[in-house]
Amino acid sequence: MRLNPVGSYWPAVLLAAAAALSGAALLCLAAWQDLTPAERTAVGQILRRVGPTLALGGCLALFVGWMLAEWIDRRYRRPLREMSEQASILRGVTAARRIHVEGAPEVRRLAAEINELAALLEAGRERIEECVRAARGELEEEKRLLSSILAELPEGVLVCDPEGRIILYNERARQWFGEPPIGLGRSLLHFFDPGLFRQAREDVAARLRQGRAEPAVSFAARLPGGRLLKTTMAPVLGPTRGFRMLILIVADATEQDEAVRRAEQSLQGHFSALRRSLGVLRTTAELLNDTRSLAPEKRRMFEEILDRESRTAARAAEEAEAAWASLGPSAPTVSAVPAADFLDLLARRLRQAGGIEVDTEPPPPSLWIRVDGPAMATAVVFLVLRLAPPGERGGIRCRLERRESRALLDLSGGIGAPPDPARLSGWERETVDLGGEPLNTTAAEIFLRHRASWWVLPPAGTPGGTLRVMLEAADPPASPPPRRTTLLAGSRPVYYDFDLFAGRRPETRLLEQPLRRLACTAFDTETTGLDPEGGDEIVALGAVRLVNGRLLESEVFERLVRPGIDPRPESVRIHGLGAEILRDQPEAALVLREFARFAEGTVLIAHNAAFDMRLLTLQGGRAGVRFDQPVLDTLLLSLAVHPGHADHSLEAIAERLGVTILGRHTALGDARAAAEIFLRLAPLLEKAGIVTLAEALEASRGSLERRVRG
Amino acid sequence: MEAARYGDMGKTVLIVDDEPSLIVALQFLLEENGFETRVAFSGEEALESIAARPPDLVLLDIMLPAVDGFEVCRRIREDPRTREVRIVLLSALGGQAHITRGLDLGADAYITKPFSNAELLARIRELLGCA
Repeated sequence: MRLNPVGSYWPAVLLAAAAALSGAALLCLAAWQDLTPAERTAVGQILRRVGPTLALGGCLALFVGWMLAEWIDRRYRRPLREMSEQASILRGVTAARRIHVEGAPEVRRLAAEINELAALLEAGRERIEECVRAARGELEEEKRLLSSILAELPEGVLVCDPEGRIILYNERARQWFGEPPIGLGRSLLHFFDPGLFRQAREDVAARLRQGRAEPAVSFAARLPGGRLLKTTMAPVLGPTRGFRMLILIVADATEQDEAVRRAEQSLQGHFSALRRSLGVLRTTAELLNDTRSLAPEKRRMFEEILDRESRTAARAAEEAEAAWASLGPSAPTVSAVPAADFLDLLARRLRQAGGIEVDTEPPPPSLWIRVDGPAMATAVVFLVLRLAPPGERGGIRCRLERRESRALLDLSGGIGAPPDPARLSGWERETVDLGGEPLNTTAAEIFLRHRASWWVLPPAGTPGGTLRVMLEAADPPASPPPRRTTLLAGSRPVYYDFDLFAGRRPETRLLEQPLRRLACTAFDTETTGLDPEGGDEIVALGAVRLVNGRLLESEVFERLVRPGIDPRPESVRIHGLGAEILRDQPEAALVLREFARFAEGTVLIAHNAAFDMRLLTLQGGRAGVRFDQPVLDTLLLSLAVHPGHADHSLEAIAERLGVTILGRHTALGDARAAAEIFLRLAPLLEKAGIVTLAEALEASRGSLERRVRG
Repeated sequence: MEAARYGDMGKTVLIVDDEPSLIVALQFLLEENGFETRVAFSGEEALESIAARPPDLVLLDIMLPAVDGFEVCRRIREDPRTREVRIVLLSALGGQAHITRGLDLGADAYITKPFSNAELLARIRELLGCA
């Protein structure tokens, strides 16, 4: 808004006046130059005589000009300026205001036009806000539903961005991550091993680059509080397959892991005690048996040993049985993976962590191993880095082979000769550190969790020693693969549709439901003729489902029916269904019972529904089924919306509303057309104030009465 | 089973085990068959005994307190003075992992308990080249 409205206007007027005056003066000067001295004298005399009169006239002209300018200013310029200012308020601040200006009639008309536009703008904005409110409400409802589903999951679920910032989590995840509690927007890396998180993220990225269909990785993570979480990390991908988010699915494996480990250890102890006793028993028994001349005191001594050891053996066996009974499923944090996958991972880690060149011998595809891949790879890399001093790191050869129930992982070349065992076991108990962030675990723990053992073979043929790790072998699974955990943004799975729930809230009464929320069955029949009371029957029945303003392509009903009488020729000409086609079709009673189940609990929609409903009532009655749900007629609804139009045939309405009928005069084609017409009528009905089912039924009654009357 | 028949006189076997009953039985068995025996009840004791006077053969249990049989085995192979000593691992630990590891670390034979006396004697004689 300008503070000095005069500013730009009066200077222009004055400038124009000055320009006009100086132009006139120049012209006069030019004319004066052309005059002879005598003429100049004459003109001078004339001017002296009429001068005062001319000056007075000039002043008068200036005054009139000023008045004119002032009038234009008041009638046009100021009101227009005010209008533009008020219009900018309408546009920017509130459309509820109206422009009031004094001025010329054209200006006032313009103001009135702008006011009408403002009214439209106001209505449009209100409508948008209403839609936004409604959409937000639905979104909130979906969110509530989703969060209650998440809350009930037995697994912890946590979604974070690629840097670990927490976007979403469920109650279970919060429990398991412990104190201090995780929170939205905070970094997961305060709670979770950052090194492990980044490694897993890189593994996921590598699997994506390799074009794996299943890029999720599973690993176990030890939290600072000591809890062991079995974790699966899966990416949420953007449209270009870039990382958007990461989903972590965690399950607490602490107790299970410890229980399994305890049971295994005690079982191992009992078995070896048993073997020991058996060893003593056998050796002693054989001595007693085989030695010919055994001194009596020696004999007595061996017999005592036999007696004692057999009791020890029995005890060991009992304890082993008890331990066996308490043993749950096998180690929970390892899973069977192809050996090739593990070697691939290991080679990548060796290159990353130590810049070590790795030469991998491809293992047979049938070789699988039971590992927590990321953890085992980390432990092995850690040992390699300790065994191979930085200056002496050459290339490393890496192979995996099966030995009965075990798999031997050998890393040779670049590994030094076996060092002092005290140092070896010292390394095992150090915190694993690959040069980045140290991990919250030790190699010993990782090996223990895997029931794996390792040792260093002295140099034999190869330069340096060989690090040998003995892992558990597994058989490839008979049926691939595990669940798909990849989520592609934008591809919404079909079973995810909260609208379906929204429409079924039992507390909402059917009649008060808005049309766009109804679950409907749009149907159509083909018949033997046009006189149901005279014995004409259904020969075809087609129906489609509408839910929440959408036509469900997957829910379609289409049946031919064997009628009790032959179709009339004029009907056959329309629908093409003659007696010979219908001969082998099921009879009406069966089809109507099926249809009743299909349409149960939905509002029926048909074009000219009265005719079809009469058939359903007559033939349904004979089959023992009733169709007493509410019925909407597209013909009557169209009349309610467009009372001015004369033609309300299916074709005419379809053309008016831009619906293409595929398969006119087939039951399914006409049913689908009625459904689409209904979908397009719904917003028009709403505009006419007909929003709920009750209102639509009322309007249909009104249309019917008008039609009957006139 | 007269010792002289086999010409085993003078071969020394070190029995390393923490199970007295088995040691008594093994000692009797080996002496009956003409071997000289020495006994150690732990890994450290065994290493000391071997360092003092290397035996011809060590019967080595794996599950020993502190320094286990694997470690004793490795150290015997490491020391140039004892490298030639024959080693038979006598173990209550079955399973591929232990057997492979034991042989990897330089044991000459791995016998799982329980074993037959005849088998044990046969392996010992074979390793000592006096069969």
